[in-house]
Amino acid sequence: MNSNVSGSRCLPWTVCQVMLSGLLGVSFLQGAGCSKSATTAEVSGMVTVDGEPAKAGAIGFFPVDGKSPTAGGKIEAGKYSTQVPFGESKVEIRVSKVVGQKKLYDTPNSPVQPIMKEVLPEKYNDQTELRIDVQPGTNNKDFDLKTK
Amino acid sequence: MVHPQSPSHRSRSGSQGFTLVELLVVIAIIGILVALLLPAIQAARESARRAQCVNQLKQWGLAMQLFHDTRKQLPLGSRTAPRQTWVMHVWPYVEQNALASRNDITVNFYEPPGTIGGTLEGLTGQYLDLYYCPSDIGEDQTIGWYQRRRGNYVVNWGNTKYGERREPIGLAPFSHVKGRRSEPRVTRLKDVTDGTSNTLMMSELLKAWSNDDNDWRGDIHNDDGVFRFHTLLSPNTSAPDVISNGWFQDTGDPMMPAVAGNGSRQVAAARSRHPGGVNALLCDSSVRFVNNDIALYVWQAMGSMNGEEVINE
Repeated sequence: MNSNVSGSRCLPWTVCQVMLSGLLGVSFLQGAGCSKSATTAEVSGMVTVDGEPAKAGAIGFFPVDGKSPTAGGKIEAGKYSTQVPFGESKVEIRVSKVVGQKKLYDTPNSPVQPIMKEVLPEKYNDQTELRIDVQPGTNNKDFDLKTK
Repeated sequence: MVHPQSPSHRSRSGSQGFTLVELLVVIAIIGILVALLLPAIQAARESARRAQCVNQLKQWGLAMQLFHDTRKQLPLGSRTAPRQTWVMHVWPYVEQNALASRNDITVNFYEPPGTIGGTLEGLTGQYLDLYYCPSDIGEDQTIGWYQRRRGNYVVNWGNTKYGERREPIGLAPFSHVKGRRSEPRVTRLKDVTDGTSNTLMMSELLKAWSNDDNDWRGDIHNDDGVFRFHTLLSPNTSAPDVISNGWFQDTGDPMMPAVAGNGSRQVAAARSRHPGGVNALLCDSSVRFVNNDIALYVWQAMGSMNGEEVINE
């Protein structure tokens, strides 16, 4: 009876210990195992339009050699920050301005939505002349753009 | 009154039972195991949804082939007289003869019978399972005057913007002549000289979250809407879609970046909520899962049907 009791106590503990150490080991391996080699770097900076920080817009990066994917990010209060693949990229910047309101449908109580217009000329987006060479590490690039 | 079995019961629980610590340890282990298992279950559920999505795209692919068998050309991407997109023209080939026979292809999509104002009763308001990727969480247009269904499956507009006047080097299966909406280009499969297994026919994107008609993403019945994707942008890219005059609502969803552009040059990426990539239908009706980090030139080579690129993956 005594030995039986001690046996039933011991077994779960041993099992528990083995399982716990196993679990810990597995989770440790998972954590340490797969770290991908970096292909992107952080790019951040300021976008100003005619000297003023761009209120709202977005920035896009397009690899010149086409060997990596495109990337981009939002511009908020003139600042942007995003992960971009290494190498030379074309940069497209669009800054929008609210030019009016439009009703969503023909009822008096219709909600309205702002009508946004692109303020920058084509040479900064559709026919962009902007370039950046993204290096490993952190990249800082400010864009000082003119509407004329 | 004493239960006859209670003495033996008490002795067992007194001397042979588990202590509180043992129970807690066992519960903790079960908890850890469940915690390990849950992500696996979620992953299995997502992979089932992805498989369903592959099936949907395959159906669209067969429909396009059937359309081509009958009409000797692919459906027009979109046109302006009357204003329509490819979707309603493919109805007969996805076993929606009921919709097709009630339809009038000589009127604009936003007029009866396509749309019946203020209701979802119009033909473009009818629910078709085939419009939807099960992984997406976007909405239909169910309030206001112009109510209709959105959809996740969109046609390949290739390496040019919507409205761009200059022709790209390699054309896509769906395009307009010199970007003019009134001049949809007719494409036959024999024009796909890069090979039907090397050229994209369709892929998916993410539908808008709003129930209004104020967001064009996934508005597949509308020739103004985003019923198309462009290989100018990588799949699921963080670079923004460009949508005319801000016809989108920014919900802060990082999967759906967008920015206002001028009306004459719009662009939209293939996007999905499948982890790591999008499903893409090729012109031979096969479906491939394309990773987000596919090299842009390979994706763009797949986007054109006669660009004479060599795809080395």
